[in-house]
Amino acid sequence: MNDRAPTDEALMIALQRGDHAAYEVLYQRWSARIFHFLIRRTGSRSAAEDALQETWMRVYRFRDRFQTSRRFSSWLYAIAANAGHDAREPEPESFEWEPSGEDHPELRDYLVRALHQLDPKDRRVLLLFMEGFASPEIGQMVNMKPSAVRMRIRRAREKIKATLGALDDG
Amino acid sequence: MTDDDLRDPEMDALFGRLKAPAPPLHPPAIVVPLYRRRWIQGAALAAALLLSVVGARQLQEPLVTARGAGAADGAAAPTVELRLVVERDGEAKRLAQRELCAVGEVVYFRVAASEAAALSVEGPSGIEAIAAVDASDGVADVSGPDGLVGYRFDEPGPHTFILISGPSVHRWTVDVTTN
Repeated sequence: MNDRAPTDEALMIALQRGDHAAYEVLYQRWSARIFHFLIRRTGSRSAAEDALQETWMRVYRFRDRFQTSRRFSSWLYAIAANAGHDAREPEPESFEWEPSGEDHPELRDYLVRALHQLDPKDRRVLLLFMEGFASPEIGQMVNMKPSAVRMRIRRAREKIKATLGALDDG
Repeated sequence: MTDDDLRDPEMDALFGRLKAPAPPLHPPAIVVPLYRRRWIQGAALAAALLLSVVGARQLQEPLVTARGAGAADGAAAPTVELRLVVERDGEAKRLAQRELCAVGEVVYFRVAASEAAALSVEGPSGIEAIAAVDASDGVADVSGPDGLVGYRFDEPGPHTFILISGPSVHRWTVDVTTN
């Protein structure tokens, strides 16, 4: 008896064949991670919820376009990177945050704002990089050359460091 | 410059502490579309999704609200508000007044009403009832026994959706074209 859980790609094949239960399994498997990505990308809970809904709507709607030669996670994040809209103003209170005793009292707000002040494309590629994707894969997701992806990551990190440096100076 | 040059575990750990709350328990519902009737019930995966994608945030926007008799003398006036949503290219789009739609598109409805309401449409062929709406608890997606109610445009021309709740009436017009 094979009791291993089906792979994401196998679940997508099942969904393409009409097994709607596979859709639910994929959601349960991925929604928390994607929501974590989306709330940092969009800056607010409500915007992230909208983007999450749109992401899964597109997963279903475009299920037949998924190619099993591709990793499901890469396909899913590519959808999530472009779904919905970023919040106009970030809402730090949207995030769950466990302060540590060594934290600056405004650290959470600074982190959220540091992300939000990035160019939206820079923010997307940086967050995808933080999720563990390599620059060539990110390039495929956002239609960019890997070198451009790396340039954006470096620029984003430098800008964040400058922002957080101001926190230390303050 | 390689990916390794760009790694910064300290920064990543810091931003990793920005946690998201739990996401909704279930994905958007899947319902197979059945576009056999001019107005349709229980239709479409998209239907369930559309109204949810529009999201709570938009519901907090100032409402375009019709007020009935009673407002002038300071009494609490019944309020009604109607929103139309259509799916285009996989995205939910809220329709503005006089927005252009295409024949074949399906609209769904979100209603706020302080009393029971009735939704109808006046199109080129006349007036047609769509659904009765109980939105007494605030905001409701218009649905019937089989699920959400959608209305498919099958002829060009102006279509005015009319929501009547007590003495209040709210109208929303879209212009339907053939392309």
